[in-house]
Amino acid sequence: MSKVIFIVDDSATMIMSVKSTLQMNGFLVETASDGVQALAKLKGGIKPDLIITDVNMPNMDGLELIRNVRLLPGFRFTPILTLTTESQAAKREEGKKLGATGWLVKPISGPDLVKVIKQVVPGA
Amino acid sequence: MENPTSPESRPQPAERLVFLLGTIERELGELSPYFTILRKQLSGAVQETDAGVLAVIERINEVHGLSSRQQDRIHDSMAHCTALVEATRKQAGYNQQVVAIVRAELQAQLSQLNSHIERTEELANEVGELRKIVELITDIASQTHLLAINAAIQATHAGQAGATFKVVAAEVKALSLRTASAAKEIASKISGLARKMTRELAAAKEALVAKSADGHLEQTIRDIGVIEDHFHVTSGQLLTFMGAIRDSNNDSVTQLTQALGFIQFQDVVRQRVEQVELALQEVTEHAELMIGHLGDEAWDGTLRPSLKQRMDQHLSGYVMASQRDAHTTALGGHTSGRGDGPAIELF
Repeated sequence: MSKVIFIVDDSATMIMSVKSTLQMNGFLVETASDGVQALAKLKGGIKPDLIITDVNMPNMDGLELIRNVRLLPGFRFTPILTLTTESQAAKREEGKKLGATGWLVKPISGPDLVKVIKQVVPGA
Repeated sequence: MENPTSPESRPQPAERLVFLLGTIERELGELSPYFTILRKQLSGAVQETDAGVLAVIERINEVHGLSSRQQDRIHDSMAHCTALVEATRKQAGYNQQVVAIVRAELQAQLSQLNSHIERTEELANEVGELRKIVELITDIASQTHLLAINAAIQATHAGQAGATFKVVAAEVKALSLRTASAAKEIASKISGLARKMTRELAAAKEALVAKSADGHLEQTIRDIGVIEDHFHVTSGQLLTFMGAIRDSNNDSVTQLTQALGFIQFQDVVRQRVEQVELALQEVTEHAELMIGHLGDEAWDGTLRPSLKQRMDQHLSGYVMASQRDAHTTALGGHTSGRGDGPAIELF
């Protein structure tokens, strides 16, 4: 059964790029354009096998989203990857403390992204 | 028209200061629309790259859609081809069994025919032996006939005494003649029978040779084998060819996803441009702040935040190493060259 991946990014091109890459590799994809929308969708019932989120977004940024997702029932162990231009060590450390599974810096090639996904999503 | 810079019309120091301040105020006032234009130009450029990149992604998706449909067709063809190969393999096994049965049956028939011919030959030989016996009987009859003639002559010479013997001699003569006639008839029938048997034997041998030498069945078996081999080779080549197309298709997907990764440059550029737009906005605000102070007699000459402070604040607002590097080197500093960490890090 195909794994569901939830992409959160305020950039339409990023969403299209990552969504297309994942669909070409057999994944199902859900999307949201910021942390608030993402949190609403998760509370609304979608149950992704992996969340890939940008960090710098309007309304609610990626780090705040991670903090909130970890408080949701059933999402304590859901893998969360950040995919961001943000590369500062301090931000990485903050993401790690909040419960991020990994930190990916844009741009990332499709094959590299799929490889990482297979590492963090069991059975992908 | 009066030249404002001619010596005659040159203003006094206080007037000149007011004049220069007016010029500075006017020029600073033009900065706001100027920077607004620049921000709009940058914003427009970002929107255009945004639209262009989305169009490229759509095309990539279309190419992938075509490729996927092609892959589905190849998958179906491979499935049919594999089924056909399997069916042919089963049919070939069945054909070999049938051929083996037919070959065994043919061998049995040939063996039986050989046996019949051998027995017929033995019978023909025995018939040949009968002919010798008949010849002997004919010879005996001939000699008996001569003996009867001699006996009749002797009986004639004996006169009345040989009259009875003469009758016997006549009977023996008649018997010898009938015996010779019967022997002749038997010999004739034996010869006819022998000719018929010889013809039948020759025909049977001819049939045996023809059956033994009949290459039609063997040729058919060989032809079936050649067809099967040819089909196996061709279907194998077809599967290899389809496999190569499938691999090529997978390579295409890898290339397309790599291209999609490269397209993410647009988001990086967008964020760098947004930072420049923010800086232009701040410079505009700073210019407006300065204009506001120009006519203010109570102004102590300081600006908060200063342009330097605004610039320094940008350093903490950057989101990528390349922004920080550009800022640092522009101010004469040096970068570590190591960036801020690996592009992929799993915790």
